Amino acid sequence: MKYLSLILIFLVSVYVWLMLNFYTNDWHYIQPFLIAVLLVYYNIEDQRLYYTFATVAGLFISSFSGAFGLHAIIFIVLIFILKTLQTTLLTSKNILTILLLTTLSFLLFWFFYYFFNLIFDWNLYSFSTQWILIGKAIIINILVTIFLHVVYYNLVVKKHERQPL
Amino acid sequence: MFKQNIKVFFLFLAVILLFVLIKNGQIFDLGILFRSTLVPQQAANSLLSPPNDIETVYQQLLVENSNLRLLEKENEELREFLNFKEKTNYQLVLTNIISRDPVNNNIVMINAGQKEGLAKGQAVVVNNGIIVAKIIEVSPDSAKFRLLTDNFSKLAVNIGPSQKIGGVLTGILGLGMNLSYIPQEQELKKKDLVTTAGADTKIPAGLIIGQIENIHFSEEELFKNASVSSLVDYNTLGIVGVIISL
Repeated sequence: MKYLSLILIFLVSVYVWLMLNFYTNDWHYIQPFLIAVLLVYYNIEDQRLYYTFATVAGLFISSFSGAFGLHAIIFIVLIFILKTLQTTLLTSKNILTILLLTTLSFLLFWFFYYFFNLIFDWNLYSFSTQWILIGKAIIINILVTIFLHVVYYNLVVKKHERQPL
Repeated sequence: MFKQNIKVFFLFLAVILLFVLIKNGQIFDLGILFRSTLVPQQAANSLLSPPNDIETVYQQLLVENSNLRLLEKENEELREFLNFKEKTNYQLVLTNIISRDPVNNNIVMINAGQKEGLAKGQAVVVNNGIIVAKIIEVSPDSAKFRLLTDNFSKLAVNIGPSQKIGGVLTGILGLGMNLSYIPQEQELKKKDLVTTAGADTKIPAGLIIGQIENIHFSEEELFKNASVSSLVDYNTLGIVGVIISL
């Protein structure tokens, strides 16, 4: 069931991602794959599974882009940072922590996106610094992530937690 | 917990880097494995280095192609003649045009003559029995015919679907054909077919000549005139047939 839901999440992300990229009127700043990676990370305990999901998702996007591997590397670096934070500073699992981590991960994503380009000089990307659009998209991304997480937590996780009782 | 996280992180980072390197061909080219096992090396080499004489082969093929096209055209023409012969049971002699008169372009020489049964006044046809000329001079091995567009060419014709309207067809300086002596009361239409009348004993009736293009008439005149356009181009005639007996 766990694997099936992972495949389902991946397929939904692929569909949404292709749909948003089909019309290039700034909708591509919304990142369904990053949302999916974060949701999988928040809701699955198995370390290898969410790293694998992030890798596969990243490589999928990379296969469509000029710099192969950039997205995959950013995704696993983000997961690594989030996991490190959760094991050291932000150990609680309340909604505020999730909100903080989500915001941080979206900000870090763009930071790494430009940072890696600066270091490795991947000139294949056409970077446009439309900060306002990126900012708007980040807010939408965070809200979507939190909403889906809350929905999943309340409908699935809580129900299953109650079951043994 | 933290150590475990670092381990997994580096493991996946290594996996991604491996993918990137393989994809960029920096470790090894995966394609080499398939090429060397599935396709023999010789075949791959022959694809990479094309033969040197490709240019000459191409030119030879061009020449061959143009010859084949000519043959195809000739074959089609002959096939049409064959159909015409089978349909009508006329005795037909097929012949090639060998020259045109240097002074009058509408007089054409062919390489068949008395020996083949040609005689003065016979009809010269193309394709599916479209008459284009009449024989005017015959020698033992060759003959000359005058195209219907020549000024001196005259032929009795019938017009229209009922074939009841008669007229005389004359040529206009090798440029076209004119119908004259059509009674005023007869009704002509554009695109009406013009066919031979059969007034001449050596020319069968019903051979197609062309169709009416324009009609000219005025109240004061006794007869109507009409210009006739041919169904074939008289300047590109190649093989023609002569009807030697009806």
